[in-house]
Amino acid sequence: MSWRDACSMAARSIGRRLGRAVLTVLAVTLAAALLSALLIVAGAARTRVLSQLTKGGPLAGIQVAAAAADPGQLDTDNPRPGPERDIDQAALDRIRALPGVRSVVPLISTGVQVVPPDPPVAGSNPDHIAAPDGFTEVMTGFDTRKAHELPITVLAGRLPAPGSQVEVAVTEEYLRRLRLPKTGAKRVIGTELQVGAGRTFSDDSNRRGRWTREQIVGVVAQGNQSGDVIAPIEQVRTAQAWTQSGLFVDFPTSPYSGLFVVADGLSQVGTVRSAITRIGYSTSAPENLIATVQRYLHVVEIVLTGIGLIALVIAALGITNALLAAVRERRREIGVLKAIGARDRDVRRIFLIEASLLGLAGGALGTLAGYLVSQLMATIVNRYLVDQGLSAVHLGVPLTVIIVGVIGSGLLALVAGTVPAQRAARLPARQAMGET
Amino acid sequence: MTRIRVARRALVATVLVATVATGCSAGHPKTLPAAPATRPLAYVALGGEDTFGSGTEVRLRNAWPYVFFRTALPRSATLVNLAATGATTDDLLDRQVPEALQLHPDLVTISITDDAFSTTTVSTVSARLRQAVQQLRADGRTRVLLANIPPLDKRPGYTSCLPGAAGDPSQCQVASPVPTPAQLNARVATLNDAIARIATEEGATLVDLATPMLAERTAGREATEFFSDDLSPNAAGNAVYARAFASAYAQPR
Repeated sequence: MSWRDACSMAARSIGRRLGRAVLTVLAVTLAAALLSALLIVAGAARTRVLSQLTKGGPLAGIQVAAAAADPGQLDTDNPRPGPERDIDQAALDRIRALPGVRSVVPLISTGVQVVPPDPPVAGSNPDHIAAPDGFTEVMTGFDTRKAHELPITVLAGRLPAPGSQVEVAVTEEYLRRLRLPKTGAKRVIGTELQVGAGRTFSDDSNRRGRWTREQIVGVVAQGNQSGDVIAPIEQVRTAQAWTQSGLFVDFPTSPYSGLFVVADGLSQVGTVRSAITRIGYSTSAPENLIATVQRYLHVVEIVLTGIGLIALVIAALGITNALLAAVRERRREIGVLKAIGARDRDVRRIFLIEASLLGLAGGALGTLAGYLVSQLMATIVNRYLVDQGLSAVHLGVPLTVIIVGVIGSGLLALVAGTVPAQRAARLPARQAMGET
Repeated sequence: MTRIRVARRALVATVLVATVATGCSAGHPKTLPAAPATRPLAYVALGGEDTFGSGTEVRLRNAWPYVFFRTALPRSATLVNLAATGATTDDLLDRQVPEALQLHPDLVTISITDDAFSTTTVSTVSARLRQAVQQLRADGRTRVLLANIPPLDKRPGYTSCLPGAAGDPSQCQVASPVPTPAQLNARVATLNDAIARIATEEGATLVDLATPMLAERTAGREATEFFSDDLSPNAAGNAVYARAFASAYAQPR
């Protein structure tokens, strides 16, 4: 008997007992849905928790300050930096060349005067929000193309375009100045700040500002960076150059105010930190905390996977039961098949295909249902998070969930169908014909 | 019949796809498109009290150079305001113009009113102003907007200095000898003639502040809205100045 004939017979058999097949598939669907929903939600929760710990940055991120290393800094995640120490290009190149370093993002900060617009929010209904007078703040710049490597979470809008001289993002601190809740982040997007870098000319005691107009394109969670304004590194460098070209500069001389180093993995963070310390800079990284939390999260994932697998095993037992009943009902059919020349393995194949089809169909439907259920849950959770001014959870479907959900269900059904298939295969033709 | 069915299915599919696409994008926050990179226009403001913005509460927002910068210039422009309180053409030539030249500006505005109250001769003031414009225009690419002097005879900082003034004498901002209103107006008119001549001869664009400020006076707004404190306009007055500069800037070179 060919595979095609076996598949055709299995399909016909399912079609003849459609009610039972639907119920069996439903059981597998529910189990697969439970498993995939649990895995998806656990994955999202894991990402969220780790994202909170790393402030949206990579797990293996290390902050390097323009300060000398504290000898005891490796004993803690966030040590106090020592005295100021310039990070120049040579130091940057040395750190980039360290083994275990995946990437280095330089940061530049400069003091600026910020004048918000009046009214300070966009839209036709400003709600009489008073525009604060100008205030002095720190503007931090980096290559915005590498934002994914930094502990920055975009709450609303986007980050400034790379190299832009006319776009900035603001932090939650700016919202606080306007007495706006986090939920009002979108209201400042599109408004325009006047940003001035100060400079003292030779014969004038007054500092003069070089003013630029910067459109707010996004609001970011503060992360570990100080200051209200986040800008592309070129913009901050221009402002810094203006300030440093004047007289009486009371400003750090370091070309870079900090670095964000990403190690090859969490296990490399300690080694890389030690190497940077030997070069002479203060570092901080939450690797100890992250490792502990990861262990706890792994236990939670194992428990949730176990719950899902138990449900799948129960569903598999349902397949076994349904197929055993089918073997009993189809003794005559099996007898006829054998009488016309079907071998044991042909009969076994028909039942195994039938079990696999039920398992695969249930697995596929269940994975889809699990994804939809988790999306529904995410919508409800995100509504709450957004109300609280927090960034939303983004659910992805990992490949492992699809593999476990669909292929795992199929394989489990195959195993579940082994006993009935074996029983059907070993049924002697004469006995099968005679008992009917 | 089959064609009609296929067409109907295609229509339904299109509507479904469009509905899903619209639904998917509706909940997302609108993001602003990236602005194109342009060569920034360097603008430098030179002048005295009015340009510094002494009469405004939040001068970095409401002084006219900042309003003009925000409303009339491209977003990529930069502004440096080198004006100082009490600056005359003397300060303009000795300090402000050399500092401005260091910045290689594309656009310079000059608005000096304090010379109207000084005893320096009109010819001296004119010569300094001409020299300032010449130095700024020497590279052939810097555009200069040269403002004339608005009427000053109703400003409390001046009127409170006059003998028998009803206002608070401590508000007086003008050093002795205080000119009479007639003398002041005559000097302003002479200076404005000179400024117009310099603008024409040196290739600068004349900014007429006198006409809109007189219009404000005629409309009865000058006393209440413009000169509530001393010699300089408040935010409303600065907005009128900024409009005048914007109008001049919009003129072809």
